[in-house]
Amino acid sequence: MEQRSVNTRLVWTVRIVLLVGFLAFWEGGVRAGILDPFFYSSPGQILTRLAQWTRDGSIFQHIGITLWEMMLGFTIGTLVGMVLGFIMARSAYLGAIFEPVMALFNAIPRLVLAPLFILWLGLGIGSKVVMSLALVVFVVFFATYTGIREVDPALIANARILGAGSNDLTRHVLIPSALSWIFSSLRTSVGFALIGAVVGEYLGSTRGVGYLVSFAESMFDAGGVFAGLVVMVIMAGGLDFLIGRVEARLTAWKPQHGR
Amino acid sequence: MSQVQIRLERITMRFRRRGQEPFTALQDVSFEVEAGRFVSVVGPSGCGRSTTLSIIAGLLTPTSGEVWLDGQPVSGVQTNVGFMFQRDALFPWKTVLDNVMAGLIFRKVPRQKARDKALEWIRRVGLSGFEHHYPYQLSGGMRKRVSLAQTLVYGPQTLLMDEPFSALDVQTRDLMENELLALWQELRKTVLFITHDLEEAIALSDEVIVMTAAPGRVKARYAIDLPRPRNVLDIRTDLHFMQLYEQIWADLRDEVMASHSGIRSTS
Ligand SMILES: Nc1ncnc2c1ncn2[C@@H]1O[C@H](COP(=O)(O)OP(=O)(O)O)[C@@H](O)[C@H]1O
Ligand SMILES: [Mg+2]
Repeated sequence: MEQRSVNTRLVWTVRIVLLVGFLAFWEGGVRAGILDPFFYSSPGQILTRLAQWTRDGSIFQHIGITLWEMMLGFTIGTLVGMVLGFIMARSAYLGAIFEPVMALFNAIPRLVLAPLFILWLGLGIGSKVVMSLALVVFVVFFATYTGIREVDPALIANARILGAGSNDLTRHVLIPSALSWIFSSLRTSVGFALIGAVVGEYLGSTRGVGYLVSFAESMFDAGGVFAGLVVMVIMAGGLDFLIGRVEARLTAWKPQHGR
Repeated sequence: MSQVQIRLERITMRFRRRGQEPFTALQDVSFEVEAGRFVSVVGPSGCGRSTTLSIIAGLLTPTSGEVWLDGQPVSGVQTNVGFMFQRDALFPWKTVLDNVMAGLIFRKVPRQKARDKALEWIRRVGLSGFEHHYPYQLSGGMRKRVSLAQTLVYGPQTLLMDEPFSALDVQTRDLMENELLALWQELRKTVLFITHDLEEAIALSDEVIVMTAAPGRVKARYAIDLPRPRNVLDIRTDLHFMQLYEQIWADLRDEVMASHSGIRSTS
């Protein structure tokens, strides 16, 4: 196939023009009385709200809390997922027994569990961490499980002839293979960690970005809801950028990496 | 006096297959390879050559029969052999250096010493400057060189090679064959080399074993008395080479035809 080259400057110009056009249309629509600011707010209003949150510093606390919950959820979820995946992949019986169970749990839309977690663990960060963890754990579990099950038998045979004992095999073959699967699902698991934390906050809390949105909503403050969404988009974008960096580093041995 | 390095005694291998008759891949295969010799096994595809190598290396246990390696009965995976796989078996997440070091690290050789030895072998297979490349960054021929270094670095007495060069283009292959011969001439390892290419087998070997179509048996053995050192490019035009080729091909052709038509050879 022919390689199509794109002019990146052109792409960016068009992107910016579209965004500015959209915002101008929105603002203009509100000012002209076509769009009701009660429902649709306006870019100006949103900016004002963001500026206000930044000035009083409250937004940084909320972002900090959300990041902290999501980091805890991500870390614990990843560890638990790895350990479970490893144990089940290595034991024929445990794998056969529990793999369908895991698949079943995975099929439950776990966000509906959030009210339960809040009921059980309260409005503090615990329920958000658990929500986030519950989403992450399955992604990492299946990545680990597949990574170990799918490792090329020739690699195992080669390692054993090269003198690898069972610990060497784990360390030099099984774990790297599992890690490569875990890394390639990093975007998904980090995204899930953020969703878990925010949804938990939205449903019941007194802090965090999800709480900001839910509070604004309860005050019929469309500008506040939109401003909260903008903050989330920025957070997600920042995380995505970081992951891209980390990924490129961790999977340097793969044919194509980064973007 | 020469000592036997590899001995197979009436090896039979049957694979159980789900819902089908068991499949006999090898039937009463016996042969031996003397220490320091270069022996090739040719036969139609599917005649059980890879299975034979796996059995010698202890990766598979035969249904019946016995294997002896360096005077010891084989049971369990052998670590005193070098094995070059048909498909790439390099660790994709390790650099060339780490791939070559692997066998030494597994043997608990101190890191610095392992590194020095690995670097020496990387140099010997002509890959200096590529120590920190990953396998995906190398050509097929270079990957084979890494495999060779990975295998030789810990000094196994026996080399088992399963169609190591079959995926390479002709030029690279000729080059690799000559380099393998030069290394072998110097190191005097025992080599059991599998190929489907009769020219390659004759050019490299002291002896060629012809196997029958499945179930694999030893059909014939030919001594290759061509002078050494050899150059695989020149030797193909040698008159004696061509005579040997004619002679062995007559045997091999029947088996290749048999394996294609599914008719069992009776000769
Ligand atoms: N694990 C296995 N289970 C079932 N059949 C196998 C297995 N390994 C090899 N075979 C069969 O045994 C025969 C010999 O295989 P192989 O040794 O790979 O042949 P070759 O290397 O000579 O081409 C083939 O027909 C193959 O399908
Ligand atoms: Mg084969």
